[in-house]
Amino acid sequence: MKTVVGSLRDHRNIVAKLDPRTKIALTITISTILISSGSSQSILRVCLTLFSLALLLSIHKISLFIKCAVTFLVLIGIQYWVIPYAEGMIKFILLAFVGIFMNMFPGFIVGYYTLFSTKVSEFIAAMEKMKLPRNIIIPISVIFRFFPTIAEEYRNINYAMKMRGINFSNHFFKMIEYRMIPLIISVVQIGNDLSFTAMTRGIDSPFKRTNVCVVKFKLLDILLIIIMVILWIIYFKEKLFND
Amino acid sequence: MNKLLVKDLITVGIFTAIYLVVFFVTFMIGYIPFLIPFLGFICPIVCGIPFILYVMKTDKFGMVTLTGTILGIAFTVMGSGLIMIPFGIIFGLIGDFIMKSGGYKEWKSIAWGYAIFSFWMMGFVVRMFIARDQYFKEVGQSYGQDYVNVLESITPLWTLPVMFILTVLGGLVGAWLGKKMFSKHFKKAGLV
Repeated sequence: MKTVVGSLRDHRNIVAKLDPRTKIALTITISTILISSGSSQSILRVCLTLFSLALLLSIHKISLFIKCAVTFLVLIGIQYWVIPYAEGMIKFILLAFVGIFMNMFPGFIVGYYTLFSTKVSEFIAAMEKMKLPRNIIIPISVIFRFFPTIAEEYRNINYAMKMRGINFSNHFFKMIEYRMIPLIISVVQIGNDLSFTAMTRGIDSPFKRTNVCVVKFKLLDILLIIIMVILWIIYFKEKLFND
Repeated sequence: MNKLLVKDLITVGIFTAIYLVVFFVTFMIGYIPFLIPFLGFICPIVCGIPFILYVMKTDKFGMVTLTGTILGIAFTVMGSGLIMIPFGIIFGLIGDFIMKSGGYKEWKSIAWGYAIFSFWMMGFVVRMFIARDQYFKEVGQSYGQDYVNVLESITPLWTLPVMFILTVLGGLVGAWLGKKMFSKHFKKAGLV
């Protein structure tokens, strides 16, 4: 038994091994606070952004980390050196562009981190611990597993269409049709296979499932949760007493 | 109607994933600020293609509701606020009832059901109208006052009903497009 457990042991680092519930809470906290709060706590904003970038390093996505960091620097540059000199509609568009990116990007990064650092079975175990109904758990875990598949299929279809020379400039509607339809067809096909595999592995058995993944809160989780509670208190305090 | 089986739940998952991705990409394109009022028009059109195929594969009550609920949860997690969940559940349920009245086969009920279901995306904008002052104050803090001025001028109060009407129109057009694509491609590919 011990050898079996040993071979299952994962080699992700400690940040990637957080409890899935903590990861979801992190995603909600960072995206909500960044999207719907003012810039009055701009230090907090910078900290959260840096934190989300650091999460990318913890799952060894170094090139992505560099890309995101450069994007942020460019945006900050636009904010300080371009926007004051722009006027009218162009200024509006630039403001919106920078604002939306600065507000939403950290949330996406944390979401990406959650998606790529969590195993599906771990995720299911966490959701079962949250006592969600089965009708929600199964679709969500399927979605969870499908995002990477959709990305991969899309990449391949994109190559094929590039080879045929169908791109934005010459066939606009064809471009959408010729990418979306094959994508849907192949994803549905994969989904059918997946559904049979899941049946074979007994997903519809009426008994309570057991799981190899141990899901419990560790020290780091507790620490992060305390920080998040503090952040939420600040957030609500600002919402309620700032009017 | 009989209970949802695991196979149905997996179908829900697959199509919700596709819908989510397609919606999100369209949403990003439609996020060019002066297109905000038309967001409800563009998104349902593009999302109609996967959705009609989804409905064609469905014959049980509750699947569309589940899709709405999960979309609500997903966008709440992504920071659009808790309001998305009730919107997803309510409009998913209504759309489900309308489609059920035609047995998920009758074309007219599918088109209207999809149009009503598309109302869930009004959850994004409804805050802009209900808590208008507070919303613009928040936006002003994080985007700057110039942004608020333009946004306020392109979304006066009367645009809310207009957006609802545009969403219905977008839903109907999307359903029509989906049907066209369905008979052109998916039937041939033997997906149903």
